[in-house]
Amino acid sequence: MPQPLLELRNLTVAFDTEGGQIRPVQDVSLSIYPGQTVALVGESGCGKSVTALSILRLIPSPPGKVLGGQILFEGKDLLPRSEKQMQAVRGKDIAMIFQEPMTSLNPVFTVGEQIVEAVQLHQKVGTKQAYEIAEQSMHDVGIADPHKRLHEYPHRLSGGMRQRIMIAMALSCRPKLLIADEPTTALDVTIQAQILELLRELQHERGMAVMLITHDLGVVAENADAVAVMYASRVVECAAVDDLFDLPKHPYTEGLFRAIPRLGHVQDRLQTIAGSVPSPRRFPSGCKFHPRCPRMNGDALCAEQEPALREIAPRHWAACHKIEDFAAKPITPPNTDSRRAEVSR
Amino acid sequence: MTSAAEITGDSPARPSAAPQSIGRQAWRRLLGNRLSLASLIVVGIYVAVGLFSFTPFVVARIDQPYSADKTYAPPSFWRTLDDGSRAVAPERWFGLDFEGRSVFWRLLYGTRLALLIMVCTCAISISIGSVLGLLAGYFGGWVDDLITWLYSTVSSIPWLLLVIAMAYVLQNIQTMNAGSVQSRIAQFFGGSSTVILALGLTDWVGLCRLIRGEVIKLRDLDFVVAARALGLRRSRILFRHVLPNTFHIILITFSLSSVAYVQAETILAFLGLGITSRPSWGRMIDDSKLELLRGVWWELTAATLAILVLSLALNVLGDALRDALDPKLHGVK
Repeated sequence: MPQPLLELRNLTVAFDTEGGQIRPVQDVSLSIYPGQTVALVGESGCGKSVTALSILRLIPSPPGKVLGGQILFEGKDLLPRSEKQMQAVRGKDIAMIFQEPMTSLNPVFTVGEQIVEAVQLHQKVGTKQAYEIAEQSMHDVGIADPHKRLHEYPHRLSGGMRQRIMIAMALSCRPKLLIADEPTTALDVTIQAQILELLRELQHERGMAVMLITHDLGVVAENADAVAVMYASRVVECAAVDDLFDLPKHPYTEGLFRAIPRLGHVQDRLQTIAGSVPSPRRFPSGCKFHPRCPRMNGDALCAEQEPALREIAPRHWAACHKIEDFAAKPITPPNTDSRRAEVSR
Repeated sequence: MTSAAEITGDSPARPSAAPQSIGRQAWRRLLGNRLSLASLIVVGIYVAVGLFSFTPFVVARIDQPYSADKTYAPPSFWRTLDDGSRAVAPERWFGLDFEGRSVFWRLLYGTRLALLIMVCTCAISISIGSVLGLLAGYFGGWVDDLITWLYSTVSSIPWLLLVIAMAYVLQNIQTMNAGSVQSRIAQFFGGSSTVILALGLTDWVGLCRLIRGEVIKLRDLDFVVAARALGLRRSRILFRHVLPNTFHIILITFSLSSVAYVQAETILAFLGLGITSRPSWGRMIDDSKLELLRGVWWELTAATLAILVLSLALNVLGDALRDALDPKLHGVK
């Protein structure tokens, strides 16, 4: 394997709140290789977005801070860098797009001005040339009549268009890694499919790596090469997408797959994971999943000791004490085929 | 891939219905409303008169006695010449004051002072208020604590008391440094610099609060985070992305508080702390308060009317601006 483009090693992030310190990200390790798409999956509040934001040092600080670990980009740690050095990384090497296209653009400037600002930030070009680059990148993200759209204000564009503009801005400096934080959650399904398709094309064309944050397993199946599943601040399972979908090892991942309705299957009732996601203020002791875990069976080990992420099968990691006891049985990959049909144009 | 130049060539010319900026839309709404258009015209006339009164033509006439016995004359359109014929005499339109000086020309000169006070005081108070509000709102933490403490302290002292104290201090400083540059500046400001500084340095609290609140709201919006994710410098985010989104507040504050500054100058003049060497509207009212007993009503009336009309126009304009810039009223006539 070549050197990973981005490698997180035991990243821990803490926030000081009035109710004491909380740690929404604990001990997260993750590798993204050049050109690869890695999906970060999990429920709301599991620490996906905080992980992504802390890579670019965008978490509000104070109250947030990185407690420990390393963020290696091309082998060099980002954490000891100064704010000024980080500014050079942001947008140029690592770019980010956000969930909410309606608020991601500044309402008082035209989209052209905003793309031009992004272009001129990391490239030494004149204004006229920057506008040409902006127009080209709007063309690249599939905006019809970019010359006219350059002079539009964001409020005149639809959500899908704005997300395309955001992508154009993020990609205008040809970053090596794009962090996409739920890029399609706020869009409807057809637009979602178009945006994902666009991201795939651009990624293929430019050989860029993508970190895709989502809670939609259909999107994961369709787009990702590797998946990391997060639960309550930790990565609980990490594998290539096919391995994970064919043979999930962690009871939480299994539960997630069971909870997805499948088109074309008659089902009485969807299976759910009992209980609810713990709040970061009151994480359970030991394995954070143990109060909801069907495998635990009153085992004191689960309640006392946090399981480490272990390589269960080649390039397949999971954090569970009980994996050997419950040799995971293959389950039909959940509705990925139907999602595929829905997602692809 | 096609080159950018080709695309520029291929794409159609910009359509006639060009997308309108928020500012342009607000401007159009402002002109569409009869009341706000009228107030805009009135303010425009004041500005024109104020600029005209910077000319030596006006300056030469403010202290010149127009009656032979240097005493009052009621308003009249004509002036009686030695041979008994009459000529149009603008200097007598609003009467002559107790030294025979023309109320009309003095009133015009007062417009200049009022405009200077409005613009300069707003420039001071708005810069202080918006920059401090911006810093407090964006950075939070100890910066916010410090600025909140500062404006709470300033606002806890009765405003007039603070202004009077500052006016005294500044007056003394001015008399101490009577250098050539200072005296030139003083001449330009017509003695209003004390009032401008006293008002500007005390009246930024309200705007600071408003901007701070607005910035706290804006700070966590995605476009600010997105700007940081693009690698923008902090100062650029603050002044190019956050501050322009508070311009509606600044604009409205400008239109409303500039009126208040003209009125405050009147109050200070009435207390003997305003502009003493030149005829401001406040000084004219102060001068005429005793003369009223002798039935000399014209100087007071003229100065009061000048303030009243300007205040009214600016208030209406401020209200119209608020409506015009309110996105919730988009599309509503």
